[in-house]
Amino acid sequence: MAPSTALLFVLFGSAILLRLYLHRSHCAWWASTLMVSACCSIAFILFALSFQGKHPELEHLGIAISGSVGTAPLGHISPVTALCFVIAALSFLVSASFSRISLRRAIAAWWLALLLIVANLVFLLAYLYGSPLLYGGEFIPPAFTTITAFLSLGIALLILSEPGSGAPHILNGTEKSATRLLIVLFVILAGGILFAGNLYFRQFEQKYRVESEKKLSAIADLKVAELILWRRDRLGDGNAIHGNPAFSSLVRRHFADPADREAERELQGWINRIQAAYQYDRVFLLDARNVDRISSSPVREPVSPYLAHNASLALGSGKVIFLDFHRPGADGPIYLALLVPIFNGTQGKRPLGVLVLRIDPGKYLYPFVSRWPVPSMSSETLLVRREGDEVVYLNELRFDKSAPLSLRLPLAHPELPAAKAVLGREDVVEGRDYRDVPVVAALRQVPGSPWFLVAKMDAAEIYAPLRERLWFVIALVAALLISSTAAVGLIWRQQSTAFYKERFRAEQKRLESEQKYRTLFETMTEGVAMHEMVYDGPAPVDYRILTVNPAYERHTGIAMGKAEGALASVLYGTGAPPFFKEYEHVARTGEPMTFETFSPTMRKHFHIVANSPGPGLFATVFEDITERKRQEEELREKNLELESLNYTVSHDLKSPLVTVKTFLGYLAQDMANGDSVRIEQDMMYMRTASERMGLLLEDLFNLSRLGRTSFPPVDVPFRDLAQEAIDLVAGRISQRGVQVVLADSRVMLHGDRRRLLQLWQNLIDNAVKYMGDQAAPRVEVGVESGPAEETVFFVKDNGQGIDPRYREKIFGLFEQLDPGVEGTGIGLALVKRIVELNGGALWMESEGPGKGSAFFFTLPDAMKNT
Amino acid sequence: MKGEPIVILLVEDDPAHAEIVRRNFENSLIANRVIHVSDGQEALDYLFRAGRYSDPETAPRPGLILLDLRLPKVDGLEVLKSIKADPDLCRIPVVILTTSSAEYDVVKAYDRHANSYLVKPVDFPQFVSLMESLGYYWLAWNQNPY
Repeated sequence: MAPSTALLFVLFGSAILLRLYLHRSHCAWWASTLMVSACCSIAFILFALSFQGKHPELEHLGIAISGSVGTAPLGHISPVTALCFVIAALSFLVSASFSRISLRRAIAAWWLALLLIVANLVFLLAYLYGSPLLYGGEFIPPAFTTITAFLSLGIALLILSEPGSGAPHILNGTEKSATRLLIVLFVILAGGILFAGNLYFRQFEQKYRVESEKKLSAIADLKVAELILWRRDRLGDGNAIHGNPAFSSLVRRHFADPADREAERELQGWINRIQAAYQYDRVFLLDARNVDRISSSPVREPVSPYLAHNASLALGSGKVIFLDFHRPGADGPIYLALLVPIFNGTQGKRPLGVLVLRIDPGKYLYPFVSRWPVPSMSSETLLVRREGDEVVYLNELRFDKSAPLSLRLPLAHPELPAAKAVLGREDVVEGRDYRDVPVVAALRQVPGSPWFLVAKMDAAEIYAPLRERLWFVIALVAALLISSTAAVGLIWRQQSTAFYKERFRAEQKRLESEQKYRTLFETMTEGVAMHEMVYDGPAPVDYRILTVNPAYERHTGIAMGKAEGALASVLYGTGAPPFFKEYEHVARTGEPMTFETFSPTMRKHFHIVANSPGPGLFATVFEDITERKRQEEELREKNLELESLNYTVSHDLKSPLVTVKTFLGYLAQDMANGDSVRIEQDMMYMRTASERMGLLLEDLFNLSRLGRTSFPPVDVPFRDLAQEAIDLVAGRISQRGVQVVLADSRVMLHGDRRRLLQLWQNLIDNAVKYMGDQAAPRVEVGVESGPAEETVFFVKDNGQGIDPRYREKIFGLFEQLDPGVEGTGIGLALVKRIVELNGGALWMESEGPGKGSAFFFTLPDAMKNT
Repeated sequence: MKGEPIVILLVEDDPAHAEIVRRNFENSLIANRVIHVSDGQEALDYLFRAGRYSDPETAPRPGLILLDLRLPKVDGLEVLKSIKADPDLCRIPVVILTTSSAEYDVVKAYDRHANSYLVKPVDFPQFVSLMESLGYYWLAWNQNPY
């Protein structure tokens, strides 16, 4: 890696660290952007320069670097590296803006990072397969370290490309499409790795095979050359004796005179010397009749017919014969032999005999043939010759010592290298040898001999390094596959994690929202019910309650379990489903509707809002407005009462005022006229009017206070209260001489004592006041039991009575039946109010004028706690 | 206008107010006779000649009815309704003379065909003036159906 490359990597790494760990800082963001921009510019300039073959010295950063790879100088950035830097910088720069997350930009950054990774993966594979790219060329190749550094950088950029470095959708799509893309990516990657692995191995295998074949061929050629040399030497030996007149004269002498001891001795010396000098197994002399006359070995051996025959041939031809491998005995040793014919005198003279130079191949030839120049477990050289349709093995085999001349295999054997050699092939073949083991063999013919040479080696041995290499490649490919699987898996996992995280978050949010609305639904005070229309064919006939909330149960008193799923017509027991027409309209048109209604079965007022969340569906939200209605009614009554009060007050208070003012006017006139009678009269009217006014005001005050102030309820016996009331009107009673009868009752009352007292006081006062001209006035105050066992109080008198026509009018405010009687007309109104305040009823019974009257009333609220 | 005095029926529960009306008419130049009844029932009895008013001599047909609205026993509006529902009595001009200036009363009175609606003024000179004008208008200027 060039120093400039290293510097760029450092810059890049710092920028990424800044971006990743200080991503909230505006300053860090700008600093990292600036750094990468600088990287990009430098890389681009260096790329342009490097591409043109210019390599500035500045790149060395002051470090002394010299030397070159091929024609490319060391210590300079590769144009590939520079280009990679530009790509990386682009990926970094487009990855994300500070404030805004752009999906399109993130995707661009992601693809650029991926491009960087893939490109460097190719270079890495080239390195790992042992044939790095760009080496030996004009351009500087990227260093192995650079490539691995770029892989790390690419992965970092891949992570960084995710907007906000959170977990966004890199691939802008559903999880499915992301997975599909990753699978395609993986397949491409895996295919590439497998293809590259295979390609590499095939190339290596080819190379190795060629080399192995060359080796085998070389060995075979060497052996052939040596064999030729050996044969020539042997023939040379023979020829040397063949043409030796001294030797032939000795033979002649010996044959001529077997008793010539000196000749015999000299001949024996020759033979012994020849045997020893050339390491022949045995050298012996046969005469023309093939009788063994002199031998290097003292042991005489019988002359085999084969030898005798060939000796005769040699004598006949007069030439030295190289007798090939043969076995003289049935199971004896194998020999080769040189048959040298000996003639008397020069050529063409009388033949004397044959000198046999017997060679034991086991001694020299076999070791030589079987010797292999390099250590090997299975390699060997075979010597074979053809005999008819058979190939005959001549030498001792590594795995079959008894092979020579006894191992014969048919020429037709298709895979036998020896057969192919015998048939004349001289190249490298693969086949199965005599052991039926796969071998690779180099085939040669030994010129000037019937021999064929096979230099072979077991395919297993020869390809062992290849297999080793194959295992290495497989391991490498597997490792790459595993790592690429892991990488793709990691990305996929990250993707799916992000995706599911997002999904989970959305679901969580949805659940929270759901929970929120559920809680709202459960806790809201308004009753809510969801319904669906029920159709009979196309016509809606009813509706079904789907869901209700607890408030529904509270308001309607219908259990939720009973309501849900029920038909309205059945559930509400109203025959026809309530508000069917209205709801049907809402469900059909989707127009919401609001109305108020009173349910006679529940005795409640409801405010209902109906809307439709979907076709055939409608929801009702209703509120129990019974209390509001009651208050409204109360307010309306109060208003009416107030209006009435207002009206009467304006009339009845004005009346005495008019009187006073008018008579004041008259008074002035009368005083001017000095009419004393009229003055008296005027003053009387005025007095009466003002007194009446005073009374009116007091009673009005009492009445108005009724509604406003109240004292805490107390327990008081009815009898005590009635007695007190009687005492209060005692003056009028005694004045009129009224007999008052108070019933001896133990009824207890519980209420505002003052009001209750007012009640009885007014009634008793009225009874005494309207006594008329009764001679024996009598008032009865008591208690009786009503038809429903309720306590009914009464005040009865035998006074002037009341015309039944005015039964209701008497209780009105300021109503007086008899203008002549003192009073304001408020008394009975007051009584009525008090009774009503106690939840009771007040009524009057009278048989008519002069027949007395009876007031009855109930006080349920005052009876409650007793 | 005939020689005999016009009978005015005053329906008024407040004796003081009745006195005021009587005094006003006493002062006017028009010859008349005021008959005072103090509640609605009595007024009806008089007009329909029931009870103690069954004798036409003691209960002459009035030429004008001055009717208060707030009356004991039978309300003034009820009395008015009875008068106007009667084919004979309905021609008698009925002037409502009351302290109430409530719109409700005014409207109801006219609904029941009251001929005039007067509110008793609180001020003495005004009251006197009103009674004077009333006398002139209804007893002198106004043309009665008989």
